[in-house]
Amino acid sequence: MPSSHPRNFRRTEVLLALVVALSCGPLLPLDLAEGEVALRFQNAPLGTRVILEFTARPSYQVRKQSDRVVVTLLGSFKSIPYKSKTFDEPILNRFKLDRSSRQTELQFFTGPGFAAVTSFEMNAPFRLVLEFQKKAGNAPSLGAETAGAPAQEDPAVPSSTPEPLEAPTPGSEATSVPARPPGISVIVVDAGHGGSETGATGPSGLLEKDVTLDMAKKLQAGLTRRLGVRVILTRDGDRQVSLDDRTALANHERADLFLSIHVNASPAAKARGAETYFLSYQATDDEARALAALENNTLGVETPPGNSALGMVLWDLAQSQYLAESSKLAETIQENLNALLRIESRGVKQAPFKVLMGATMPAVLVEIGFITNSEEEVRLKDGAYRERITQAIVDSVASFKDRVEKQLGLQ
Amino acid sequence: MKWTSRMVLLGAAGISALLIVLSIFWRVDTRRAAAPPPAATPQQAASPETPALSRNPTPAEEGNQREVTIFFQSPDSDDLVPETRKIFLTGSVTDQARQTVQALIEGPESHLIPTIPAGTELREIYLGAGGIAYVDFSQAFVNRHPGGSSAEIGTVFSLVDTLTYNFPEIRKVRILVEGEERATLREHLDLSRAYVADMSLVSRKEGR
Repeated sequence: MPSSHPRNFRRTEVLLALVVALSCGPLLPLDLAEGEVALRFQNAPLGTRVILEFTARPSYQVRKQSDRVVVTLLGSFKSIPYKSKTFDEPILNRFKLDRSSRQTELQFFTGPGFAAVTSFEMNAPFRLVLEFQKKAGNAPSLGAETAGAPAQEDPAVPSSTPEPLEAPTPGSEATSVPARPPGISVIVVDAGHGGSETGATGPSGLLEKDVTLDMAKKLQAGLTRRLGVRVILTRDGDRQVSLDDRTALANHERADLFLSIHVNASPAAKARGAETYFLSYQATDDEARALAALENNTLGVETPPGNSALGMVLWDLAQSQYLAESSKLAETIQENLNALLRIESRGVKQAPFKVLMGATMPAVLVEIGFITNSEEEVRLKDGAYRERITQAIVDSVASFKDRVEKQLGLQ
Repeated sequence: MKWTSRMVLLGAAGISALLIVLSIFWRVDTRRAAAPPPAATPQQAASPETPALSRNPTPAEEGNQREVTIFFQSPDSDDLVPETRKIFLTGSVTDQARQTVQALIEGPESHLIPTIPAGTELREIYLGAGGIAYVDFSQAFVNRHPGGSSAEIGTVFSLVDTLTYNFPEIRKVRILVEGEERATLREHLDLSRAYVADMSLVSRKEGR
């Protein structure tokens, strides 16, 4: 039971994040001209990240074809600093630009190690970020996956020569990561709070940390029995575990899902019902600037009191890749909780919860009920009631797993 | 768990060593931006560039006082519900903001529920670059907080919405405790960032 994982995971994570951020080749010209797209290639925890920067948001489309991912831009764009580039790497083999007066195609030829591509946008300046995920990594972002289009083969692909510019080696991380089957086989269940962090307290003294621990153990048993997955608990006793360590454990174990179990509290004594959260994430101007600064190795960014940790930027981004899946998982759990327990639905919600931020997998936080509501507190004390909630969550994970694995073609 | 400033020294490609100090203010919209605005938001029309409030009197203003709208927790839902208070039109925005947060701490006059834990003291408010108001509370803000996702969201957004609603100079709010930043309130909401308003939490049913 690796719930007593070493403290230095977090340092490793932050360092890894720094490497991701800073292993970005040479500086690009800071002032992009209109009609130009700047390319950057980075190692990412799950594969290779390609960042396309524009002066303004272009009309674009991302398509996955059998041997490549094509970004089509409306209009004629010049790519800098590369017009073409050969990587000869398992995930990303080669990049090549095809432009005409009306449209531009950025073609990223993928290698045998490529599993899926996801994309998201950032603003100020506008960026299109493509994550080329490697095989045998974490579950690919199905929700964000681009729809495959009929392959339009281009036989005249010139073999490009390597550019003199130095770039990171995409996919080099793949060799150091043990292969794991795709799909959902490892789940981290996080019992909220613990130790001196008791969480919320009920009117008759029930402690959130005790309910969450028992729920986590029940979930571990239920998920293992039903799905044959490996379930790891962030704590298996009444002890304090930092929020960062909880996510770091899930990332280190290369978990496919992160389920954080909590019991809600409200000063409104009437408040009742279950709700499921996933992370609210928006690449704000500040974050985009921060990312830009990281990528450009820029110095002298203003330092107001309480600046955030460097690593967090990237781990925040990490969860942003999984929001679509996290949202689907949250919906599934919420539906099952509503149906099985007939408790009032408070719905799926989004909030910037710290414990979800760094997770590089679909991650949700389930508030199973209100400990501050006397009636619900009574029910939450009841082992049979906890079993029913456990069952609802296990059912949800089962249908989510089923869906993911069908989409991966594993069933 | 401390998320304090970090300075990271890095060698870059064997050419030179770079010292990187990075700081980020986080702006967070916890709800869909598409949510319609609340029915009555007279102050919302004011742009952040609006000059001092004293030179921009509202109908509610009389003498050396002005009206502010403060948000408390509804007893029946997750909504935030407004009440109004009079504050003195003192010279600085921060002083007016201080009076407003003080009123929030003192709690509702109606059936509404307080969002700031009893016994919390407001240590200081100051306005930083980018329209970020730093609101520094005493330790009771954390120690006496009941915890729980809903309660944390109610606390943070009653404060953020109250300040941004009444003071166009304040665009974001960052919470400090005993002068220091905290990673979270009670292990849920991230407090290492500045929050923008989330008016979707404000009740549209009950109004002033």
